[in-house]
Amino acid sequence: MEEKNSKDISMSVKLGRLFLKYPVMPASGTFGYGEEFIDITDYSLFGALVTKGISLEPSKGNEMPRICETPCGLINSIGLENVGFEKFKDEKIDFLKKFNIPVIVNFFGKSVEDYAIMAGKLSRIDGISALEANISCPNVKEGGRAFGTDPEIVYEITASIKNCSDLPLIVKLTPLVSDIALIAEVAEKAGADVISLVNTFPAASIDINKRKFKLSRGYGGLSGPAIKPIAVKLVNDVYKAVRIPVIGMGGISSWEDAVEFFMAGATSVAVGTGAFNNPYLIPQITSGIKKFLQENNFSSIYDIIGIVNN
Amino acid sequence: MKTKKIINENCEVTVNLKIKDTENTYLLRIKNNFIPQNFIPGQFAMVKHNPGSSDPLLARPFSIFRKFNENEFEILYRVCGKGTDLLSNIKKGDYISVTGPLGNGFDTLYDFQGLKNGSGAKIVKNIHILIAGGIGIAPLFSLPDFIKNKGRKGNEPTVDYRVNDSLDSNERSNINTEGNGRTPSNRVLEACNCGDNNKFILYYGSKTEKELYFRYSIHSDYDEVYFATDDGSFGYKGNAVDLLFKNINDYCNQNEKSTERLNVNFYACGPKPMLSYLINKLRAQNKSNMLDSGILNEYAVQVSLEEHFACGIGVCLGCVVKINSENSDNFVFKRVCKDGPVFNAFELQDYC
Repeated sequence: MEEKNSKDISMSVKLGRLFLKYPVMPASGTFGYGEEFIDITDYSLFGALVTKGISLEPSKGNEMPRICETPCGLINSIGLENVGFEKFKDEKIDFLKKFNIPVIVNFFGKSVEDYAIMAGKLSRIDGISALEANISCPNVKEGGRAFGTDPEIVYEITASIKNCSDLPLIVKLTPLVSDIALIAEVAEKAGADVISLVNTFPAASIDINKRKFKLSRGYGGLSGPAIKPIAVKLVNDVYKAVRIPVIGMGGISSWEDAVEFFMAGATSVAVGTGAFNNPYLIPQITSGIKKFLQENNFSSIYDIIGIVNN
Repeated sequence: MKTKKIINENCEVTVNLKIKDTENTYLLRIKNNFIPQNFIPGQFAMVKHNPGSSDPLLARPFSIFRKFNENEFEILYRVCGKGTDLLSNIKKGDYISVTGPLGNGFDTLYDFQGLKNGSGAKIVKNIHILIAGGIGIAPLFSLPDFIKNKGRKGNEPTVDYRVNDSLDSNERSNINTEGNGRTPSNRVLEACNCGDNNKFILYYGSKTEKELYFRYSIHSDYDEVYFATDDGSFGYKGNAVDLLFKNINDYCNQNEKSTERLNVNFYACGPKPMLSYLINKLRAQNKSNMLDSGILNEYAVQVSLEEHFACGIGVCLGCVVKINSENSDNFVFKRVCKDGPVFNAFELQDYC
């Protein structure tokens, strides 16, 4: 039984113009297009639904093996497999929008122009509440270095997306940069409405008997509890550097983990790998935090956001 | 309220015992009232022996071996790594996290019951040929029972299997382990003893005797059982696929004058090389003949694949397999966990 005053605790948050009833959402790439988890859990306590990253053209993704487990972590190299814009528009968005929960569409491109084109196309589809630009992928045209590592390109991408779309824009940062606060500041200056971080960390694992990388591409991105402390620190770095809200993620497996991210400055959190083991993690985090706030005499989730720096 | 399809619960372990006379193979019995009543053979469950803990991080997928009763189901597993080693240390009364039933089980829509219409009607006889390699018996184990009881609700499965699958001299005498490991060929066309018009045949191979689980009791579910071991310690010396192909003409050569029309279905699970060998042999030697004669339809060879899963429900895309397609690359990736783990063998591209 919930106690009477727990109803008074406000869990809703605002990410720019985007209003979320609850501050917890799935992380892009761990939730497909929403069609799978619905067989196990219901989405009523989800703050938003976040899609797998979409590109202009469909992408098959990488050869197998694509995943391997490491201590408290998971390395993946899926290769941005996705159905492409047209199929997303024709076959996926209708399902997502019927839940009356904000739909955040993650997308990426191979060039700066791709991002602008995608943003324009997505803006013309009904049912999308916000865009999340993944800038961790390789800039194919400019030699393959991740877009998100170069402040100039981060500015260019962000500004050109804003130019083509009126939807709230979340810019999702790669963690492997020397100064993440600088990247976040640049994105904010270029018009980003929200910053989300962290994407996975570049990582590798080797099969010593086969003398080979475990993944077909050699490297992948590390997620899971192993990255959580690093992510908490980076979220705090960004929180201190920008005024726009931050979505924190990286290894969250419990409501306590989530509270750390809020205290580090996140206005909202996302859950990925953690939900593979516990499909009820998102609603559990929301109720866990609510109880924590109540027991500590807070009245709103905003009372703990960035509390470590107050 | 939508119908529950998949459960995720912390479930009590009621049995977790090493199976006698095997190498590191365990039977895990789990209390849950949804999975036993709702799974289809070939489906699997994600099992995490350490709910809430981060190391190992991921749950492990296991085929659902069988329903024990309305409130308990079983998993058969071989210790082959860290996850299964830790699972083998779980005690009766411990709670483990279980998600399931997941994936697509074996499709049993393609067997035909009853009489064929029109003149020259023949009695249709379904021959179900199961091919198992070692622990690959697990997803296949419940299939005969499932097919026999399909559409007859209220009929409990009648598998009689005991955990302590002891070596019984009476049972041993019932199994032909001599020569090529097969029973006389004239049995093939005998009326099957399981009612309806279903005949169940098992080809069961492994490296060695100790990996042929339930080798002294499994014949009770089948009309014919053929064993093969690589080292010749039990049954035919060689692999189960070769043994199958020694006999395959008995199943697939239709006699025009026969009053029976044969409908042959293959179901297989085992190590990758075994499945690959089976698929290639069926493709190369028999597919066209069998298709022409109408004995084998395009969907009649089903294989259950093994892969590493992270999520097990189809969201992470970590477990894909190449499926033939008309597109420019001639393939699409499908997810073993969500689109499989049972696939039509002829759709798999370059499976090796």
